[in-house]
Amino acid sequence: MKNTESILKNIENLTKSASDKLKDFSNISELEEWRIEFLGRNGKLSELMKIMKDISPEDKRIVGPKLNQLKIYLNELFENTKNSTLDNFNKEENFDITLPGRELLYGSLHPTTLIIREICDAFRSMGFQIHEGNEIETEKYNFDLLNIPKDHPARDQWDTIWLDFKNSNDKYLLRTHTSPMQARIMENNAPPIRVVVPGKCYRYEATDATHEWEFHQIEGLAIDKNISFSELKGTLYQMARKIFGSDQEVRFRCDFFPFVEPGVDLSILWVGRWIEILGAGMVHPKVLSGVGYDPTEYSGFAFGIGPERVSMLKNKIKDIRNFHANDLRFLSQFVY
Amino acid sequence: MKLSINWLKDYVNFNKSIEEISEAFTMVGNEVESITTTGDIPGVIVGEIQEIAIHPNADKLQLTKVFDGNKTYNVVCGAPNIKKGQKIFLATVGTKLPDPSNNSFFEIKKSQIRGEISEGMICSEKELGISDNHDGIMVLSKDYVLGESIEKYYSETVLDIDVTPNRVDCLSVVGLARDLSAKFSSKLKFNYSVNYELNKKNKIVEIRDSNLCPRYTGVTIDSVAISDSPDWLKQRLISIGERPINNVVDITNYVMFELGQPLHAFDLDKINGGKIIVRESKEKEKIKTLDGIERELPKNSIVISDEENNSIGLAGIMGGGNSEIESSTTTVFLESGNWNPSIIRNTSKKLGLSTEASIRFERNLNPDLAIYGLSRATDLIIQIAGGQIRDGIEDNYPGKKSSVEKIILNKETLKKHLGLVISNEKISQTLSNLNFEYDFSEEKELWEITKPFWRSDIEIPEDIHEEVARIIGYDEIPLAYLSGSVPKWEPNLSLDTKNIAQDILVGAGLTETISYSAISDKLNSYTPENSNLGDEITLKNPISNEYSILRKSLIPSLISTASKNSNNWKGPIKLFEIGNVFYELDSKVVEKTMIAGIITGPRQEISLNSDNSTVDYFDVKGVIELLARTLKFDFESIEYKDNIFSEQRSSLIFNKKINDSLGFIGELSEQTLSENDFSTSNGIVFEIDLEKIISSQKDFIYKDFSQYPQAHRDLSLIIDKSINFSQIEKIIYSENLVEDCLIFDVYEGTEIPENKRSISLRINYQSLHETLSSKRLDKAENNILSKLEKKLNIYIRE
Repeated sequence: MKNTESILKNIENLTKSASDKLKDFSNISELEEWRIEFLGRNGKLSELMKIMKDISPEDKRIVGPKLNQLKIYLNELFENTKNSTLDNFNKEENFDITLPGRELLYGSLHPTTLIIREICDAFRSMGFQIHEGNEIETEKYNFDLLNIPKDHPARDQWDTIWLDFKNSNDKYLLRTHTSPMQARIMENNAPPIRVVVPGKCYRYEATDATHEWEFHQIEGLAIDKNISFSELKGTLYQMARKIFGSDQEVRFRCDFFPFVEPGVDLSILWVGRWIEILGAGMVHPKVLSGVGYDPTEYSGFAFGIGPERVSMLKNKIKDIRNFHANDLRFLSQFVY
Repeated sequence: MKLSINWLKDYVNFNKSIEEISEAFTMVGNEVESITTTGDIPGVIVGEIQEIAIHPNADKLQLTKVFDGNKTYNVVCGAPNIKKGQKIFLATVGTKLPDPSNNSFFEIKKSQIRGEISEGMICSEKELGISDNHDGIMVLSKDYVLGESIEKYYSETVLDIDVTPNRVDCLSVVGLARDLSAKFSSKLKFNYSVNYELNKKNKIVEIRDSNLCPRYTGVTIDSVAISDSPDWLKQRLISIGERPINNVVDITNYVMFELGQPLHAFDLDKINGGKIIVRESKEKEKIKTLDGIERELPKNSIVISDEENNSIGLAGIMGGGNSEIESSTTTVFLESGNWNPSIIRNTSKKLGLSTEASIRFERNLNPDLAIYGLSRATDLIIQIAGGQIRDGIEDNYPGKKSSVEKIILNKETLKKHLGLVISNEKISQTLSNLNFEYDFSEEKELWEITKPFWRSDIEIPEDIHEEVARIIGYDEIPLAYLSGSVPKWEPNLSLDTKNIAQDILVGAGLTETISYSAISDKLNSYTPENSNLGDEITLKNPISNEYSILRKSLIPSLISTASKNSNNWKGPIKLFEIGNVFYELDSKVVEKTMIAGIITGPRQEISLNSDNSTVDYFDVKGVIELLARTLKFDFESIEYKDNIFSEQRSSLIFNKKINDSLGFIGELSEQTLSENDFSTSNGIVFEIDLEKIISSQKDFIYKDFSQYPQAHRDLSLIIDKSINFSQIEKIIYSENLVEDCLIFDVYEGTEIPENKRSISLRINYQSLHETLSSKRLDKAENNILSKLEKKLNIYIRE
């Protein structure tokens, strides 16, 4: 009987350890390990079964059904656990992680806005503030105050769209550049001044892949005592490198704009060619005195950048007309 | 300005490559736009036509025998101007002639042309790339040596230089040479000189108005022999694209390109009375210019006329046909004048006639130059065409300045302006290199510079600063950060608001567009009433009728843009624009910024989770609500009617604080959609005034949130269809425990009485002071229900 008792005790222990062990199980391979440990050919159940042939028939009658129950119990435990986990795992296996996510519609900023923000941010980091101004201007601000005399061929650089606006003494036009803001800003602010002015401009000009009658410019103006050409160079050089990369080769050459002296254009070496990206210069004494500043006390520099041209270079856009065509096939590509 | 390198070498010595020269011009201010090399074609040699015979099988072709001093070639030629004995350029077999039309070559092969052997080609100027002349073969003078290659005579490099409008001096070989010699520190081989006596007695010129003509110099030359120009002169002119005419005319052109002074030669015998009058044009006066065109002159033009008032030239622009130099001419009156630049520009613009002369005069050529041009041309005429001077040079100079102008260059100011320290020696040397005359005061470090007459652009010290900087090189100026004081910070509300709106709208799925500020008459008719606040401003000279009116609203542009996209974009079309609109109000120009958008097409791309629905009014209203939340303004929707929108499906965005509408939402009517060729079946727009948003903005005030739990109750109500949700909302929010009220269902149908609808709401309740008991909630809910019943006759759906 002692034998019987200890066998029954073993059965009880095995039942408990088998079920305990399954509680901690976490994946299919552990379940398989459990099966080998308890139900395998050399597993714990088989071992216990071996006792049967060594015991008395009376004991067999008591132990036999118990062992049978244990066998059924372990097999059921295994099957149930397997099925429930497989159900889960089958689900995991069918989960297609490559299906598209739930769509959140996101628009895009116009490439002109993107490049204007980028350029303005470069200047903002150098202490410039952003102003804006009207696109309808007068001849006085667009030309006269900028030292562009009425009968001088220099005016031919700015073919003008005039407005049919009655009841006025001034001649009204669509500004041909953002430069009239130089005079307006100087009139409305006291130095020191550091501003950039992005905005639309208009020219009476036939359109083609590189010309638009409506386009943008970013005007810049810095006025203070003792501003030098050297500071003009440093500021614009820094901007060019921020926009085009820190290894960008930059060139300054002499150029002519009536409202600056000396005048300069900044070109970048782009795919083997020098390409002009902005015109600039030291503000002409006549422009300063025209708005009541004393040119012997104040100096400064001004510049004008064509953002569409910069964007065309950076993004390899071949036709400037894309910027006004508003075709979603074009616009939707410029998501930040 | 086309510049021949061979010509340039007459005035400046340099040992530099074409690329270095081109770079130097570009860096000092006149950009080289292209470099062309001509005449360097191996295989093209000088030959003489020894025989000409009829081609047996072709009317227009002839058979020639061309001798190169050694060998005779059979050449078939079709040119009309071939003659026996002519010297010509022969392209021998194997020559590759340039073909600029496709940037390749055309190879000469031994061939049979209509059965006759041809061993080369007799070339025209165009075929040799020398000029565009293709009227016939290029005929050479007797001096060309048989068998010599073309390279010996016609090898030429020409720079096309974009001369800036301030530099009239650089519209001349001498001017460009001066810049280059300054840059390379090489002496300019040129001096201005006058080699003739002045004629003070027998003047033939009379200036009626000195404002028209600051200076008129002239000389009469008798017994001149008009003929073709010598080869060197022709080659120079041809190389820069000018067609030779005859020796005297070619000389006037040559001197214009050499010194920059335009000249004109008259046949004095053709001028009635032998006198020359400078006067203003008469009303509707006509003149037949040298190009054979009769032109009616604009008011206040400058005319050269004879004593009988017959015009013989359009001063400073083009001579008259009735006094031109012909082969029979023997007495030449040579004019070298100076003309009021504004008048020249005005006449030239009005006539649409811009000439090499007019572009120089309108750029403010200095009158001092006139006499040097005259002297130089006279030299050349006597040397090339013979003749004697009648009475010396006459110089009429009413515009002569009484004193020499000086400009002071101060070393300290220069240093401050450029941010570069330059030694006295270097400054002096640069000024000398530019041929500027100066007195230098070592003690004061000042240079007193005589204004160089050829540089009309130099007026003030800053102009000298540029001269010094560009010749020393902008590269020499160091890079520096901006120094000095910090400007006062000014907030820019309008820009900030615009930037936020841009970002919010993009986040809401809209794509930014930028369209033209001017629109067509037709598109303008879709300006919504709410934006139609003044009179249109029209363009005087629009690019086209498509863009003739300044827009008063962004909506017409957006309608056009959305419609175009609807034809090639199948997904959702959600667009916005932030831009200016323009109109005239009370005789003043109004310009303001608007934020507008349009939504059309499906709500979403087709996807697993999309329901294939199309957008409607509420998609746009959601956008406005998002803008209101982020830009911090309140609004309510009030009724708005507009012809371009569907009835009842548009609203004004009304703000109580400013007691005005900020803008509107409108669903485009079927008619608007079809008139604008939309491929989609719907379209909803909005437009808001940026300034009005700013004035209706409220301050942000942080509120403590409740520490007690929120409770909610759902209600289904039966309401009359005439009742607006906003009326219900107002009553619900009047109960102070209500945190918010969300609508989740609207139903009309069989179980609901006619003229009624059912709405389902979730009302969230919360207190700052306690956890709400169900009793307290019941009380609040009952309060709401009784008010709804009393005021709006609303009851609970059973």
